[in-house]
This record gives sequence, structure tokens and C-alpha cells, in this order.
Amino acid sequence: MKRPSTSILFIYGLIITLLAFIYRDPYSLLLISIPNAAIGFALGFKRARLIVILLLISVWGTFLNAVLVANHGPIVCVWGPLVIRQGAFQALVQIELRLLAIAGAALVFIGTARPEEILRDLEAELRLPKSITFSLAYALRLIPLMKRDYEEIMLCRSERGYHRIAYLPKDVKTLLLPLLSIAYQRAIWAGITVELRGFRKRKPRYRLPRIGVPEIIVLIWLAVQVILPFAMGWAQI
Amino acid sequence: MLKYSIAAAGYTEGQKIIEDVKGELGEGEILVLAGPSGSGKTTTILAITGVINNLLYGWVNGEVNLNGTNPLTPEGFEEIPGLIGAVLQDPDKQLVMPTPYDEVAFTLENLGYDEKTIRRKTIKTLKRFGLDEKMYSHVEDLSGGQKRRLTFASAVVHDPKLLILDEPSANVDPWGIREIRGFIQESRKKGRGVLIVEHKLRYFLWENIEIHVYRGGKQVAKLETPLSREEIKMLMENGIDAGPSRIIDVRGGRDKTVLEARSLTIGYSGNIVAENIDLRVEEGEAVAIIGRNGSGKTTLLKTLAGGLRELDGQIYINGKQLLAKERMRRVFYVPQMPDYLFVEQSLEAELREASKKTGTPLDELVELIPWYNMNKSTSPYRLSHGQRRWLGIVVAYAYKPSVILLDEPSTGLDLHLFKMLREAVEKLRMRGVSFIISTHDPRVIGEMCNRAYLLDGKRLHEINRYKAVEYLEKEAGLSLEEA
Repeated sequence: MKRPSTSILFIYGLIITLLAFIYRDPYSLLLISIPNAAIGFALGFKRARLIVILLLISVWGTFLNAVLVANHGPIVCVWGPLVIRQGAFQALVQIELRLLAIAGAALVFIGTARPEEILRDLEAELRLPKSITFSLAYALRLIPLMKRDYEEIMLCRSERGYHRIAYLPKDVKTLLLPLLSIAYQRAIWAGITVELRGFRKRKPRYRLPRIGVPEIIVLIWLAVQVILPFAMGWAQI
Repeated sequence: MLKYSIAAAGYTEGQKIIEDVKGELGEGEILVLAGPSGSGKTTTILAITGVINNLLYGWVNGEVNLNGTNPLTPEGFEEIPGLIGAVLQDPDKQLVMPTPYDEVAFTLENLGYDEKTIRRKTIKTLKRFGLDEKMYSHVEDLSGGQKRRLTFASAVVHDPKLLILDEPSANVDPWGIREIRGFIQESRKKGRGVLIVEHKLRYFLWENIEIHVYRGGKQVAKLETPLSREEIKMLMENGIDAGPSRIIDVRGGRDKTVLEARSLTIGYSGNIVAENIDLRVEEGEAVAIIGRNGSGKTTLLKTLAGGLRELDGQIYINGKQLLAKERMRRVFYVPQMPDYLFVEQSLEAELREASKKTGTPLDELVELIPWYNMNKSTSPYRLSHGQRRWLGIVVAYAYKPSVILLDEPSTGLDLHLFKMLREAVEKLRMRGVSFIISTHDPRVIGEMCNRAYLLDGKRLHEINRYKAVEYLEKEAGLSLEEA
């Protein structure tokens, strides 16, 4: 079977992200998080291991935050000196399910769409302005380049005796100054080169999004995630 | 096809960068603008293409006729992308799309080609430049040579009348230079005009080439190949590398080993880059490591500096075996782009910071920089190419390492700047600092180093300096007579 069109997948990801912010009850959140995460990890894990790692790290951050700001209601468990109440537990579950849904939808998109199609389809089918699609493309180009800059700067900072983790203002400066100065120089020349290659003349050719069997399946599955929580009376907006 | 006469041009009102430059280029002809860094070569290109006045808010007084179009007018500037293909000095600044396919197709999409033609032409061009198998890989997964080829592919995919090359040999190893020479010859045969900005002129001295020599923003001479001895001498005096490689006597070390690697294996987890490396450096020595882009020179330097862990083997500094963390600062790595090292917004603050961090007296550092007073309030990022390299070495020196590791230090340096670099290294060698220099520049081996090693096929072996220079020149496609 053909892969669903990139623009339909983009719309799918966008709506799931919106739903993750709209839904509050655990059942609705479970409906959009578990299946999307399962499909997303199956499709996109290889290309986006970092998202999984960040998600795991976020559990601890969210937990601490929930204990600090929402630790009220009946006691759920006692962990040494730490008393965890229902409010904190609910907040943790709610936020993590939201993040899981967003990460899952992002992984479905990353794992299914081809890089060479993303920008062209977003421009032609969703009619995004060329300045936005170019910025997206350039960001995709720059991320590994800035990662390389970051690694080189970290090595140089270690040689020069600065803290590996930048927590003091001075450390932050020694990290950001070279990173931004180099990126600025690159941006100037990138601007010149795209203009010399006719970017200002670019006229996108629009077309209707492709709607075939794969796209219909994606849209039906999306409709289920939108309608079911309301039909079942779970959704509290 | 191209005719220009520019009385003056600059980036800010009232400030001339170039003055009285003229030229003409026909189909199948090559024109080289040669001169030291900052002499106005790139500005001339930006003026000819209308970039200065149409994009950079600068000004141009003069006339340009490119195939009947005047790029200095807004209407003419609109036509420029269809007429020219440009290759800039640094591929990382030029490549703007995530994959090679996108990069090449971008030009055609902008110019309004239909989808079928875009696909056909893009794939054909990528094949021609040997990039079809990497068509959908991320650009960052390409080697340095492949990135350079990609810049050429995206510059010629729309079959432009004029090809503009800004220092095409910078950031390229001799194997890459050979390819570039081939692409230029091919373009010439296809009837394209080729305008080259370059100070490594000796790689581009074919017959019937017109050379315009630049100095201080002015065109000071017009030459044509073949060049006479006097002309070559004049070019060399202007900081242009037009003569043969030199191999001069370079003082050796002081018979005391400061760094030794024994049976060293380098690489990343699960990926061995080179193995069984034996390397020895004496106090005050400068040793060159040569090899293709991607052969592992940088990995070796980073491993010696402690930025990467050795996979196997031992590294001794002053007779003591040290682990990666302990090596850092005793061996100081200066990256190919020295900007990574700088942490302050002025030269003065940069040296103060280095002095504060290391305890090395500020005066001692200032003394090593003859151009300090003129530039002390300039941002390190705004210094010239050669000055930034010089500053990088001085910052490294402040940490009093036994060995300084330089990664491709001569990239983009004209002859004057190269002499500055050589001088800086020589000064520190006199003070007992040793250098390991990763390079594919014959000048570095012939004039700065007293020994050379070749990293090839995952092995490092010592090579005679004369052979090393000959080897690099031959791989660049120069006959021994040319070299």
C-alpha cells in the first residue's frame, strides 16, 4: 500500500497535537496517546530515538513539578518522606499522556513522510508560504550542522577550562557567543546564495491534496479520535 | 557574454571597497580574479551579479552587461538566477536544503521548471556528479568532497551561461581539486564562461586564461597564460600562490620526545577509523599528517587531544601514559574553524580571558600578536581569516601545552597570511612548543614541518617530505613540471 500523503499526515499530527491540549480526562487522553505512541514508535523509533529519551527524562521533570504545585487531595502513596497525593498523580498522568500523544503523532509523521516530499507537499498542497517552507527546510539542514558546531564548541570549552554543563552566565556566554556568531555568518551567505538561485522568483504550483485509500484510512482514524470521546461523554473541554 | 566596468562599489555610503575594475568574458573562456584576501575579489563578483546594490543595501557605480541583461537594475537582477551558477568558498554556507535531491531541485523549482523536468534533470545531474546513490541522504552525511560536488551540481543543473566560482579550491583536498579542475574544463568545453576568484592560482593555469590581479580593491594588472617567470614572481609578491611548491630546510626538534602514540586505534564506538598507529613528536618539532578528507586526520588529532577516547593503544605525554581527560590542555587542539575557540567580543577581552584562565601574563600573549594594537577592540569573529588562525594559536599557547594540534590551518589563506601563520608557528617552536598539523596543503609540509606522516587505508606511516609534496601535487592533477 502507498504511504499517505505528507500533507494529510501533517494535518493529522497538527490535530492530534491540538486534541492533546483540548482533552483533559484520562480516557480521551489514553485514546489519543497509546495508539499514536505505539504506531509512532513502531514507524519512527529508528529516526528519532532522541524523542524517546527526552520523553523518559520528562517523566522525572513532570513528576517533580506535579509534586511541587499540584500535590493535593487524598494520599495515593507514601515514598519515604514524600507523600504523593491524587492531584500530583493526576497531573503527572495527564501531562505525560499529552506528551506521549504529541510525540507519537510526530513520530508517525517523521516515520512515514519522506524528507524530500515534506516541503514540496506542504507548499503545493497546504499552500504554506514559501518563506515558511524554506525556513523549515533550512532548519532541517541546519540542525545537524549546529549539532556539529555544538560538539566542537564543547570540546574547545573543555580545553579552555569551562564547565561542561553551562549553568553560570559566563558559561552560557562561552557557549552561545561562538554558536550564534557562526550561525549568523552562515545565514548571511545562505541568503545571498538562495537569492542568486532565484528564490524571489519562486512561484509555487498548487495542487489538491491526494486523497486515496491510505489517506481515507488516516482521516477515519483521526475522526474516531475526535468523535469517540464526545460520543462516549468522556471529553471535558 | 559578460562585460563590466565598475568605477567604484561599496557596502556603505561613501566607503569604496573596489575601484576601477573592468573585464570581459566570452563563451568558453576563463577569467581568474586573483589577489590576496581582502583585495576586493569577492566584492567584484557581488557587484557584477547585482547582489551589493539589490540585496546588501550597498552601491555600485558602473555598468554590467551579462548576456544583454544589466543585473544592477532590479529587473535585471531578477534575470540573474537563470543566467549564472555560483559556487561559494564554503559549501556549508551555500547548501541550504536537507538532501542532495532537494538542493539540486531547488534551483529548478525557483526557475519555474515543470515537475517532470525537475525530476529528470535533478537525477541526471546528481548522477553526473556521482551523487545519485546519496540523493536522499542528509547533506551532513556527505563527505567534504561530496559536498563540494553538490555545490557544483546545483550551480550547473539549469545549464547557465556563466559559472562563478569563489575560491573553489578552499576546503578541498588534492583529490577534490583534481575533480574541480575537471568540472571547470568540462564547463569550458560546453561553452560556458567561467569566472574564478582564487589565490591558489597554480591549480588553474591552463592555456589562454586571462588573469586580473587585485590589490587594495584595485585591478593592478592583466595577464594571460602562459606566464613568464617575472609575472609569476609579481603574483607571488602579491600574495597569490602561482609558483611551484617549495621544500625548504625546516629546523628539527630537540631530541626529547614529548608525545608518543603506540599501537593506537582510533574511531567511534564500533567504527574503527585507523589502527596500529605509532607516532612520535619531539620538543619544538612540527609534524604534518596528510591524507584524504575523511581518512581520519581530525579523529586522530581529537583523540590525541583527549576529546575522543582511544579505542586501543597508549598515548604518552612527556614519557607518562595519560588517559583522555588528563591529556586535555597538555595537548591543545585548534579546530579548522578557530571561531569555535573564542569566547569574548573583542581581541583584548579574549586575551585577558585567556590570561585570567591560565595565569599566562597578558603581556606575553600580546607580544605574540604584532597586529594587536590596531585590532584590540575588534571582535575575534571579525578579524581576517589569517588573524583568527593566529589568535587561535596564541589562545592555545596561553594554556602552555606541550603540543598544539592544528587542523587544516592553511585553508583559505593567501601567501601573505600563510607567511603570518608560518611565522606564528615558528615563534612558538623556538619556545619549545611542538606542533602536529593535519593538512593537505603542500606549502605546510614544504615550509612549516620538518617531518610528515601519511594516513591512508586506516594506517599511519612516516613519509619523506619531498615525496609527500610530490604525492599531493600529483593527486591534485598537476604534472611534476607544473608543481
